[in-house]
Amino acid sequence: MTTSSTLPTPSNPGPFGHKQRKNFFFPEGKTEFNHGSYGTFTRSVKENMMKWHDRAEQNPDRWVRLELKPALRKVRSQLAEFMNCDTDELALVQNTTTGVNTVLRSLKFLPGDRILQLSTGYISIVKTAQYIHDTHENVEIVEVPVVMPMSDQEIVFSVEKAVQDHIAKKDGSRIRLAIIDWISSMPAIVHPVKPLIDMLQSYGIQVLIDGAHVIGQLPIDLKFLNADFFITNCHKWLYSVRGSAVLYVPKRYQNMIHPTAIQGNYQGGFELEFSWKGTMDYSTMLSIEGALEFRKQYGEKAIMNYNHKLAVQGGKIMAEILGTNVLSPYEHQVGYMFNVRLPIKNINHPKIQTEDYLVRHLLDKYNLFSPSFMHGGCFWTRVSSQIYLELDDFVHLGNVWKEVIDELNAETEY
Amino acid sequence: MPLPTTTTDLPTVTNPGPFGHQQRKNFLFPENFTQYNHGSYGAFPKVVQDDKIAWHQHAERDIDRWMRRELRPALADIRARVAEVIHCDKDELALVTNTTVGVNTVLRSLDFQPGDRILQFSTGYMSVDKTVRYICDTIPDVQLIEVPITFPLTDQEILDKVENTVKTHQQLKDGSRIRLAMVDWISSVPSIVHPIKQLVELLQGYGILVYVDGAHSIGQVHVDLADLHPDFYITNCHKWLFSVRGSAVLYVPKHHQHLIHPTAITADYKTGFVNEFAWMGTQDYSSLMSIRSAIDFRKQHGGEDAIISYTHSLAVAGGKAVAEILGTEGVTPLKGHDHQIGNMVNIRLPIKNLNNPKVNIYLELEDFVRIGNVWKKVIDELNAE
Repeated sequence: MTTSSTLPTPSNPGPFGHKQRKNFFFPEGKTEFNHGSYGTFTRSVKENMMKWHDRAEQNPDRWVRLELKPALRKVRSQLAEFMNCDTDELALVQNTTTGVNTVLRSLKFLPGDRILQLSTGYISIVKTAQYIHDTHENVEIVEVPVVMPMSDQEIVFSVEKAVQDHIAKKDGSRIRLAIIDWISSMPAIVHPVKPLIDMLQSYGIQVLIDGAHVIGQLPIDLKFLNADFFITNCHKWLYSVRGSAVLYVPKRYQNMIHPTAIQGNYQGGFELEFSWKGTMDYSTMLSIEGALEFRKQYGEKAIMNYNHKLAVQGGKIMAEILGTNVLSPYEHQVGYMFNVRLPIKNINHPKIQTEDYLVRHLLDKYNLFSPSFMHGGCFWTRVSSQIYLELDDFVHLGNVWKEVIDELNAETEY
Repeated sequence: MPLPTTTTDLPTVTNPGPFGHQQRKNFLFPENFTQYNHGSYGAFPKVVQDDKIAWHQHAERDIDRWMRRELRPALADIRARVAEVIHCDKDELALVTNTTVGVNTVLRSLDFQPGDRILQFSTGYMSVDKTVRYICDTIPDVQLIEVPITFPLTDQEILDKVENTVKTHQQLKDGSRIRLAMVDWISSVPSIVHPIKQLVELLQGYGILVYVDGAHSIGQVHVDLADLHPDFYITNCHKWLFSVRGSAVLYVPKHHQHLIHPTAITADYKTGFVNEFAWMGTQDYSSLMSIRSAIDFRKQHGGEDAIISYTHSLAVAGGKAVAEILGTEGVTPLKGHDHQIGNMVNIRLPIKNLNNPKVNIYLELEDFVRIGNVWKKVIDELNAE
């Protein structure tokens, strides 16, 4: 429909930019710079969710006993088309944390097994691996220290080196599973997942791809990717309602994987086991249908082009205003999120050791928020671009952060 | 209209007060639809739905503020309100999605060892049975011991069967031990109110941990955890308490809390029971938030006493009416055992199937006459084939 020359960009936004605000639920005066944490959804998606919610209420027995499973299956087949895999390889779950727990708590870890993770892995995943360590005998975590910026080759090389160092120990242990972020959370960096998967699998290591941020942000081809397990949140970048994620388990592993909450369908097969999660509200999962419909109006290419270019340009502008730099010099490592350094003079400033002060200060005084974090000895903020934002918004955010940091810096000068 | 014959003014089937068909307008039923199966998936009043939607909208207006600042105190408030209804400490409660999740939370946290045995009733709920079987499948030499139950049974007969099963196991002297018992407060199908306090005492007397599956209990019977002191307890608010689906409460007394972790470990792992269960990852918390307006709705209509009085008396009378029409009888209760009926009644169909119409405040006796006639027609047709 659109050629690459007519895809929307920040200077030529087409259907995107502030005119999209009315499709969402933002109050006047509120600009959302942190889509990456919790996502948000459109009015049309909410209507779609309520349609499912109301249908359940009109006749709960008919809904649960006759209509629910086909409805869930239809969503799965839409996602399967979207991500190039089989409908029967997908299960809908609440969120990525549930998906990772589903896999990790199903796999039978044996003494001597090792789980490989990057130091930039998401905290809930780190804790889940720790739980596995705590509850099994001699199952340890192998952590690959990662300090961005690194080129794709450097990332793959670091991980391979960690694998080889482990093999050289010859202590009878084996790396059983690697958990790899496709797009890490903080810092937000797109990783070279295909080379990582190929390399790790060549050592006989199973790979769980934490793609929490991926669907709606990068194109996904699961057949090509060939991961052993994959999880992604639809409620982040796809615009479905919170509590809608999808877990990919290829057929050869399905007999091993059971839900975190065993149901009456236990041992009834993968589809049955994951279709019914007990009595709950399924309308958030079903709202994925509404999300896909909304996006079809514009097409994935248009959304991706706009958001990505806006992220790159927005990052440049904020770095200029702050007199700093963005974390990654590689544009392909940026999806829709960028990390820009905050010019704090004292990295040990008490008000930045936890997020409490900044959460309060940014929301109460400026009515906006972008999360901040330490990495590589510096202080950064992660900013999310989106179809409802324009370049001006990043100028504003840059100025706000400048003011906030100048204030904090003044406090250290006694 | 006759004056109430009870010593209190609580509503009954003959004196419904604010209940009966006049309640239908408060719910979301379409015209001509009568809900006889509240027990499976629950239903909620319009005000509770509106409240859920209001929370949903509130979150969207400033999602970072909601998730990072407001959510935990809001959920703590919900726990406090439920704690008031069921008489326990709010920090002994965790909000979870439903009973099956609550059962999995405990069973998959307890560190079962080879030689452990798990006791359950043959009438236990299917998901619970499967979860126990999963534990047995995944940990060596952990086995299931089943108490065979066929109703009708008196309370004493139920207790005797359980005690006999425990004693029989003791006599094996094979080094195994019954570690945990799963006990229904109100079983699902058939639905029978069990003598739960005596069961808890009996089993704890043998050193067995007791997990009370109270899926159907809150809102249907009076729950007093301070009196019951089970080792674990789970109940669905979205069944009989009128909250929106996906809202249940797990009780873990302080002395067991260090053992129990969520089915999905989060960033708060090992920071304490309350914290670990406060955040369940990114999801829609509006169903849990709706518990507040559900409790408020019930308070406005006379509270637990009034509601339980009406629905119980209607179940008893309704059961009799249907049984008469069908020419059968209730599967239970036996004479003098009306207390085994909560809001659900089981009537034998004159074919070998169990049916149990379930009762609620929006129903009246004539609804039972109607369903009795519907079943009569269905069964007559089947019998003629």
